[in-house]
Amino acid sequence: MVMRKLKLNWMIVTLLIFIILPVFMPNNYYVYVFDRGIVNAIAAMGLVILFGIAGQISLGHVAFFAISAYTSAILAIRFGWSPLLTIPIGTLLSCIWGALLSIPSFKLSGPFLSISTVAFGEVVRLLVINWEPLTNGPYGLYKIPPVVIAGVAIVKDVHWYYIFLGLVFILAIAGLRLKHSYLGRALAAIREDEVAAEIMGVDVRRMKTLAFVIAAFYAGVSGGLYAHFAGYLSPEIITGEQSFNLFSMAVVGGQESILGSIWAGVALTVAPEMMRFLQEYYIMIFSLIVLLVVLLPWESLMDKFRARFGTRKEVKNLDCRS
Amino acid sequence: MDFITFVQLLIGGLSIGALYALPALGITLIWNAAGVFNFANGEFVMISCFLIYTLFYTLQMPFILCMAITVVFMFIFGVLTEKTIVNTLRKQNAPPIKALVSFIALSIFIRNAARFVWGTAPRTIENPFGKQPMEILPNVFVMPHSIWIIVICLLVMLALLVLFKATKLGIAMRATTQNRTVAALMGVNTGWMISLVFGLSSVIAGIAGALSGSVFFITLDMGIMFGTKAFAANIIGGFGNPVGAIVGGLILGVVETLGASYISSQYKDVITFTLLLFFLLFKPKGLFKLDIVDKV
Repeated sequence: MVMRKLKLNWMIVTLLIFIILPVFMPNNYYVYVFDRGIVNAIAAMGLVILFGIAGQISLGHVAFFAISAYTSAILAIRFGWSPLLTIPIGTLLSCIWGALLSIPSFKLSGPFLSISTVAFGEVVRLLVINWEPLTNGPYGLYKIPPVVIAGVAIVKDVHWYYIFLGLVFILAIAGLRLKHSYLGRALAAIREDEVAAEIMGVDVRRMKTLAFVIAAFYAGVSGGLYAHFAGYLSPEIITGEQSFNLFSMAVVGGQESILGSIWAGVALTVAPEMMRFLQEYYIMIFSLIVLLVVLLPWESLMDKFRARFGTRKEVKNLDCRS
Repeated sequence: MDFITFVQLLIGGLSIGALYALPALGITLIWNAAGVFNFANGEFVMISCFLIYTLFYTLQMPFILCMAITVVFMFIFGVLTEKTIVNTLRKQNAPPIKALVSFIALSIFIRNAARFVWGTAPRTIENPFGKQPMEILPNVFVMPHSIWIIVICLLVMLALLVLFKATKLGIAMRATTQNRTVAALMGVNTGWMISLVFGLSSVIAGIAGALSGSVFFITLDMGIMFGTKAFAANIIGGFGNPVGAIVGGLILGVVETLGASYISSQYKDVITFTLLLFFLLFKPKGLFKLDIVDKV
């Protein structure tokens, strides 16, 4: 109970901070950057479920983002369909590809799976660049129609900000519910030991497919929204580096923590903008941060911290029961 | 395409294949010894290539000296990598996925650090083995670097074979690979052995990098290229089998070169990826199946 209350409070605090944040932003550009941060956070959340909870590495995650974004944008431009219709279609397509990409994960694991996902990401990127009649190649798609809700076109960054904020919290709640349900525990079991999970009656294949589909869904939602939010798509946003960025957001946010990935997603998107002097070297800093996050023994450090400052330790045990 | 062209292409392909085989061998050694997949192996090749560029082109040192410095540097680099990443994780008893993540981060870090030092422009070095084609058989002309690469790679492999089969150190390394606990009980300093294997593997990658400067452009992306090719070579040969890694690398080089000249040079990488996907999906254990593939 304590833990649940704590988590609820933490979530409300996060939500409140984000709600009042635009008031303190000096200009519209920051709102735009935060919008992009939240879009990334949505995709990173999916990666938390796939990587942090289910233990399947995807290093080509931006491919799902790209599939949904391009599908939605092309449908909206070519056929003039409403984005409210095309975004779900794009997300659906991305989910289908997620289900297909889960097939190699039945046989492969660890490094083998990660290389296959890298290859998938590259293939999608090359397709986007070379399939010019459809994607306009390296020039990118522009004049993507904005979302129209009740006759009002949403073009202001602040409006997008609150739409994204609402969505990210709905998705976060969904993710948290999933994590603490039977499905989440089954996925965690697969991460810990596949054979043992299978013995305990977890359908490993189905669960892996589910994890990939959920991750693709989150990435698809963020991709579809991004296309109509930015109004412009180019192959530059779907490079392998962007995949690594998403991956580092999931890792830096605490791997298993869904709320953490929101913070990490926003922070790792905003930080490079704040630190312009780093130019393109910020990826170097990112990778160092990821290395530190992975290599430092956080558990024992936290134990030492608790021992010194006398925080109650039973919180952790309660987490398992709730 | 007549027979002579075919032979020439074959030798060229073998030399490129030998360059792929070396990092593939390095990945296999590390996989067997420490149970981690060295994602950054291609990046090791890349930095040694840039190092050769600096030493050979900018500082105008003799090529032999450049290679010696590179080898020493790479050895220290490999040992440091092991001490900072693998050893730390082993002490924490971390799950294998953490090692993978940290190697992915390391490879990205090395690539961007190299960009920091050497910039993004592709570089070339003057071919240290000479530009004049040699006539090794009547009417068969081969670039001298092809022959040199094949010879040097063969020497490296022979040296490794001697090391692993005939010296006490090599036997201790193999014992560590097979069963760490028993090796430790027999008086082998296993932690140090794994560091040595890491150093050895990065030396091999360093030699491949030093030689590849005469064949490829020296770019930042060459690490990814070498990484995927070495991985593909491993998969083709059978993961965890050193002989398989070498044979897989040679096959890859020959197929790629022949495919580039008979089909189209634009589809060179597509051929590689098709081979890789084929093996991953239909024959994940590769050509030379080894019983201890699934190392925990």
